[in-house]
Amino acid sequence: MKDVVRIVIAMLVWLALFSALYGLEGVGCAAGWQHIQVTGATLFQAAMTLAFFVALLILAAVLVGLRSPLFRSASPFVAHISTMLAVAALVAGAWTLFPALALSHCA
Amino acid sequence: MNALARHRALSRIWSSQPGWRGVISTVNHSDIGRMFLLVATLFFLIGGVLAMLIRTQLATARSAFVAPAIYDQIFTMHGTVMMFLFAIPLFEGAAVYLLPKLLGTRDLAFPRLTAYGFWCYVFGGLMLVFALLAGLAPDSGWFMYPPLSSSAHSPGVNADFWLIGVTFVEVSAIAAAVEICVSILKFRAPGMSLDLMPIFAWYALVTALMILMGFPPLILGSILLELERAFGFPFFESALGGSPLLWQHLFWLFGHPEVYIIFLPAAGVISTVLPVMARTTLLGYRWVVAAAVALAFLSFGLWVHHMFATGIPHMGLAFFSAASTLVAVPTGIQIFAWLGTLWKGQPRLTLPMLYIIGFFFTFVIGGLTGVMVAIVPFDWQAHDTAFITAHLHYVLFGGFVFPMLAGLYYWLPQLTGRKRFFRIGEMAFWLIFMGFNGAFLAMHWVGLLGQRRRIAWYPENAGWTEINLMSSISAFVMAIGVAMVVFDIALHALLAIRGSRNPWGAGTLEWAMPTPPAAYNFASIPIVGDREPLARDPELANKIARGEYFLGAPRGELRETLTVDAAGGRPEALVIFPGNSTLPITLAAFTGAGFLGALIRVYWVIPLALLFVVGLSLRWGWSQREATHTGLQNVGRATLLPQAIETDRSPGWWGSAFLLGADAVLYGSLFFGYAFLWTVGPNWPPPQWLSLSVLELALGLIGAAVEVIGILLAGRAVSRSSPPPSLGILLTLAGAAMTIAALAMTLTRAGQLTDYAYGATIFVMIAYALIHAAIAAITICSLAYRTLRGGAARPRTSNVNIVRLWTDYAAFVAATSLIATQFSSYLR
Repeated sequence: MKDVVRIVIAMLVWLALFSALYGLEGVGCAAGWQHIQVTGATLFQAAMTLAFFVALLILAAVLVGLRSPLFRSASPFVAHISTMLAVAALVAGAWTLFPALALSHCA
Repeated sequence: MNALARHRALSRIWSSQPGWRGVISTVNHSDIGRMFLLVATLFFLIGGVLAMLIRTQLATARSAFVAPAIYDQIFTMHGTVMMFLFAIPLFEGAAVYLLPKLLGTRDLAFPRLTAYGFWCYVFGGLMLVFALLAGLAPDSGWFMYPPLSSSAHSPGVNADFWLIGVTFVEVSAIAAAVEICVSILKFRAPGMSLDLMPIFAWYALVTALMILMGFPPLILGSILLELERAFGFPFFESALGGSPLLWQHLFWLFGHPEVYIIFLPAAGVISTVLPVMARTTLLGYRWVVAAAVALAFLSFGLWVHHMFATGIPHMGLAFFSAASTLVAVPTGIQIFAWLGTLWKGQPRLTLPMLYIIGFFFTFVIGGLTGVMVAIVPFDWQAHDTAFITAHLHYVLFGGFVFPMLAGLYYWLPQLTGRKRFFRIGEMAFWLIFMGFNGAFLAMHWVGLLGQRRRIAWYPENAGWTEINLMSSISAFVMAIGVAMVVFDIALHALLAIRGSRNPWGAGTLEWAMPTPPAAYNFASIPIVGDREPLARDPELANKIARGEYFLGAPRGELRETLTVDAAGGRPEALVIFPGNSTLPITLAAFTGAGFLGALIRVYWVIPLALLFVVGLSLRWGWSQREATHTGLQNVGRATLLPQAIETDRSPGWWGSAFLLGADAVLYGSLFFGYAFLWTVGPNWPPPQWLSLSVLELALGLIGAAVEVIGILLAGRAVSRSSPPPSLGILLTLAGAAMTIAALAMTLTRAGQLTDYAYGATIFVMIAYALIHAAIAAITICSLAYRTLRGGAARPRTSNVNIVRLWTDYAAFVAATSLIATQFSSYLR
């Protein structure tokens, strides 16, 4: 079971983070964060930017974790697949969540 | 015992009864797989006839072939039948039939569940077919968007047939998905570690996991919409705090992964068949597995791309547009792996290969138009036009039907034991290929010219008539091709001569048995040390028949097989399967009676049916055969193994874990709906909030904690064999009673359910928790009964661990539901 978890964990984390950022966008827009100024930017922009980098940090941590002796699978096959998928999750995070930096408004 | 005597003994043990009794009582995966495939094919033909009616209607301008009201039913049923009654069940049938043979085992993990799922599918499908014949078929489109499907705009039972019939069929999909996950992870030949699994098994595993994650949002949406239609709970009514967009979210949370649920098994067929046709092995096995897993997850991040035209903020659009383009990468990896496999091998142009070429041509076009519609500005132009219809058919017909036809012709000699003699299939391929492309290439064109989807007629001066006529003629050419395939298969099954055992020279285990296969699959369960064991050891089939591997000596009338550890494939336990039984069909009939009661709104039928379902389920759990056989068992090759029921995690535990996983997705979707209405829903906040009751909250939370602690104590007592787990069971029961009382009190305060979506949502959340508390209580009572009876019926570790899963989940749900609802007034 642990090996199955190793295989799916990175993409599962990506999915959770993707949904979380989409949810944060909905909450922020509904709460009017785009109208609150925080040191030169809106609260909405600040929150989305922070969330983007936190998301990438988490995905990077998953990749490092899956490569570490503590969590790395004893099976070379599972270790290889889980690493490939962790890299894929990191790339997917950067690509799909990039709009959080580029389009910080609620229009 | 010689091979013939072994064959006779195993056939007696594993065979179904002769005649019609066999049909209704068989639990054998080969029988049920064949029945699934046959029924799914029949639904494909029904869906095909409906498609021809659509094309007849659209062949000319201002057509009077059918009235718009009937046309609405036809296109709705075409989509519904093809999606829910053909594509998914065909995958289920193929998986049910093939997986044990590919994995080197004798049956799937839960044979009676396989049969139950099949009968739910048949009864649910019959419900929809009846609606079609009676002129009461759903008519709001296969996506059932409210408010069109709400009772105000669809007052008849048409929409109810969809909501209830499809949900009933989905019970079958969930059952099959649980079955497939547990079978692939636990029921493999010894030695078959994850990296040695046949590639089709990987695809089936990924698909089954997707079904468990993808179907619950739709089941939830269907329940909510039916509650709105039947009782006026306004979940989707904007004026009362609901939102029709909530339905779209729930539907497409299912609907987009559904496309990949359909494509991935077909990709599994390609990955299996193509290397054999190219006389080589699959290039980049590990990359293909990783791509399939990545594709599955990415597909859950695309659902909003079906909602680009609903006014979602630009950032949301950009998230989903980016994810939609990204999905092309893992798809591309698989395409290039297949092309590389062809490159390194020596391809032969057989009939399966023809269909694979057809797949490449059509699916790549469908994929490219998919990237086009992933780009928001283009999607806004093409949205709701025939271009989208053409795109989805290129993806689904190209990505599913062509590969499945390749698979059909590939495994036909395995299925029938006969050699293909008639060459009608080749002619059929060209008719299907030319007809398909003629029909749908033209549809791209007419879509770009502005023809909208689902229109019953168009004016003469629109400039679409010739294109539509060409499309319709091509569609009929394709239909003739499909009819020829059916004719070819029928001739083959009835008249073709006996063939050799492994005509393609394949290396996987399904060819290491006599064809057509015996009911027990393998006379002894082989040891596997290679991804293509038959290619490595051509003598393997004979060694299996001679009983040289595990379980080669049949014992009494027991249907025996092995489980292995999920990752490494080491033998772990002996499993004794139940025999033939009419319990699955009876249980499916009572399940259907409950759904029927909801459909015809005779609500007293539902609790009555539920009572029978619970009673039969308990009997199901009690009629296991393992109870009389205890201790370590000799499974051959000087190996002693415990029985699965005496291990910590029996197949039942695994099945419960996967089922609860799907259940948790449904619960998560309910939370999503609650949060969605809260943040995005119009006309929020509600006029009245649920007030905090400290008594209800404290009672519920303490009850949940007591439930968790109680079952923990019961588990420890059972694993130490003394004293009996009575204290733990009593504590768990007390905890369950407390949570039920707390939830029932909250439920009565949910407010006027029809006045506002808030009250209706609170009601559903608490009712969900209450149902789970009741299920937990029933499982604890069953454990208590086992303890009281003692002896062979005494609770085993696996029994307690299964009950623990259910009680822990019920406690979690009760606690979170109470917190989310009781504190809602403070979060306004």
